[in-house]
Amino acid sequence: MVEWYYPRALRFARAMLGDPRDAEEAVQDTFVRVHDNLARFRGDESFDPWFFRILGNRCRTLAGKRKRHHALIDYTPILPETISDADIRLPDDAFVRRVYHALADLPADQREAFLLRHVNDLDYDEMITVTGARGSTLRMRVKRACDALRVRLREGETHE
Amino acid sequence: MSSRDNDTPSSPSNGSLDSLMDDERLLQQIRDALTPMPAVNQRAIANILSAVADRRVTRPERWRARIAFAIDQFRYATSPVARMTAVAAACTVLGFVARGVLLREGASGTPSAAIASSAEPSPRGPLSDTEATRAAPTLTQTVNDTADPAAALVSVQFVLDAHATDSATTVSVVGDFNEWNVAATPMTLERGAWSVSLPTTAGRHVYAFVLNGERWIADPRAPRAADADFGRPGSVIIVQAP
Repeated sequence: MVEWYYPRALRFARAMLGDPRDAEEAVQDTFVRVHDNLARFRGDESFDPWFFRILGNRCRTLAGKRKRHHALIDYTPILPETISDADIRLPDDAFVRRVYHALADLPADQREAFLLRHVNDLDYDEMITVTGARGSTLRMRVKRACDALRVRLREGETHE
Repeated sequence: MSSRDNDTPSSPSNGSLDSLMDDERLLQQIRDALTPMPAVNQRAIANILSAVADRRVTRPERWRARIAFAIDQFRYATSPVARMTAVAAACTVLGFVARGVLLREGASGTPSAAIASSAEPSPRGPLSDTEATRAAPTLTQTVNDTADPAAALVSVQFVLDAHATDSATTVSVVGDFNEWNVAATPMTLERGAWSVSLPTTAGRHVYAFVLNGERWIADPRAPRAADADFGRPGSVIIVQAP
């Protein structure tokens, strides 16, 4: 389970927190909590929302504790051998950096909703489980995040 | 800003079709940038596995983990209004509980507390004569010792102004509650008054003070008893049931 969820959790935590060390800490803490509370997980529900709910909570707690802006400090290049899907089309590094910067500028709730919807591919029912927010609220957050990212990235294109 | 209501476009006008397709293309590029998995440090995975394997599962730790989990859920999975309501409700309940505890303590304090409150009317030091007289009521601070009125012992404080004792060196109280035993209940002199506190049953009691172990006197501030023991002077006290 750790080997399967670790990369997904790290991807989410890095995008949420920006700092790789914070992300590692959040992920490790999440696995410990998952282990401690596994008995509370009901077998008839999906594991992903339950897992990412704990991870999301850890990210929020850590972000609040650090009280610093989640500017992207380090960017670890994506190594082709670590990519599970060999057919995926890699964008260039400069664009990826801009995406991460634009993502870091989003409010945390919008960033989380966007990642859950468009990166983790959760549906809105699952996102409700993860965040505790209502469906309409989540849809609005995703829409605002998409709009803000488009605006931000197009501004970057214009300046370049 | 787009005017769409959700993140999936519907029924675009002809004029905006190109723009929407561009939007979708850009969104796809964003997803492509974010979707790849990061480089995985195998040592980090090994650390996690080790931490989980070594984790103790003692009962306190299990409870601590559950509480931390529940707090996280409460903080992040409930609306601010629900959180405020829950906190307000918890504060209200705590307030009622604290109030109940305080009231109970106030109503059923220990005899020694009652003695302290009545025998030490002023923390300022030795009392003047007038103060001592005023501070030396014959009777009596009573408090409940048990919840059962029939079996309850009530703490009664006997106080005698030192001026009424003709400089006696010892004073004791005797009565039907201590079998008229002169040595059973010695009183202590403090701030111009002799006093002692004694648990007695509710009802009517006859008593007297004994100076220097010999001279019996009635309590000058209490009604005289018609049935004084062996013809000696005595006073009456009515102890109310709690």
